[in-house]
Amino acid sequence: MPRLEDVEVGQRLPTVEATVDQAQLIRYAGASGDFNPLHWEQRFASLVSPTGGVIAHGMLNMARVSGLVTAWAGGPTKVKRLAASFRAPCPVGTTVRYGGEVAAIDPATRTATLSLWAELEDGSRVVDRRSSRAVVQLD
Amino acid sequence: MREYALATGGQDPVYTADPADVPPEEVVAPPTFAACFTVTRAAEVLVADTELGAHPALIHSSQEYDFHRPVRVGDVLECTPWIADIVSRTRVELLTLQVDCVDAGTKDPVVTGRGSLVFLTGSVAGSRGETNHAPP
Repeated sequence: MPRLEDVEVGQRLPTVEATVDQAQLIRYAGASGDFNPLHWEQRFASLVSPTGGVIAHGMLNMARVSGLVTAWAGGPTKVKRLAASFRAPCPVGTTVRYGGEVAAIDPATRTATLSLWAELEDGSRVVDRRSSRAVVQLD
Repeated sequence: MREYALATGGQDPVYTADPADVPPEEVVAPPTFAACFTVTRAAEVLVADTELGAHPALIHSSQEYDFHRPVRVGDVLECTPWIADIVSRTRVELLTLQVDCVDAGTKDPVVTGRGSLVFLTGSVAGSRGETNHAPP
């Protein structure tokens, strides 16, 4: 649980890498109730997907980034705000790198604003670091 | 909540703990668990509204949450989805969907969600709803 006094702008959260496979998307669909066939049916995805194929739920990538935040912050009760911008599509089967960095600190409220991202190996911004943020209560 | 945590790669052992060791009412939801009662449910309401003309050919382009208090196992929430904005462009319609979630007992705010949905128009909009499942 980071204390205000120990946190600096530019400090990075540990990066995590994970591959998004079809089984995970089906599992996420079941857990969240989001059964949009864009995330599991190639025929439907070929009609509507920006890639022409099955893509991951934006909210699954947001959840994984959020997991980095809660681990760093000391649990879900510390998270006051979360915002994610799903800029690039995340094709099924790709490897995603998730990360975050302290962007600002407010000593008055003892909060830190983190910038967050999820990126593919080619640099595509699945969760765009320019507009994805978390506000975290510090100790 | 356990299944959600496992499906999203949650590492916190609290979600898989035996209820005898960790009482369920002490388990706090992962922040994005709010998706289950905001994005998912509200999108269902939208697509079911034939007057609105929304259809399942949509892409979720952004999402934000303000957490007023943590969500715990056993909470009963009242969630009200409403359309905060609609913008029409040439090939897409952008819809901002807000969901206000309050404690069903006290009516105190719990979570406010705000998401942007992009509805693809043009060739896809011509074939709405279930017909989208047909092959090209």
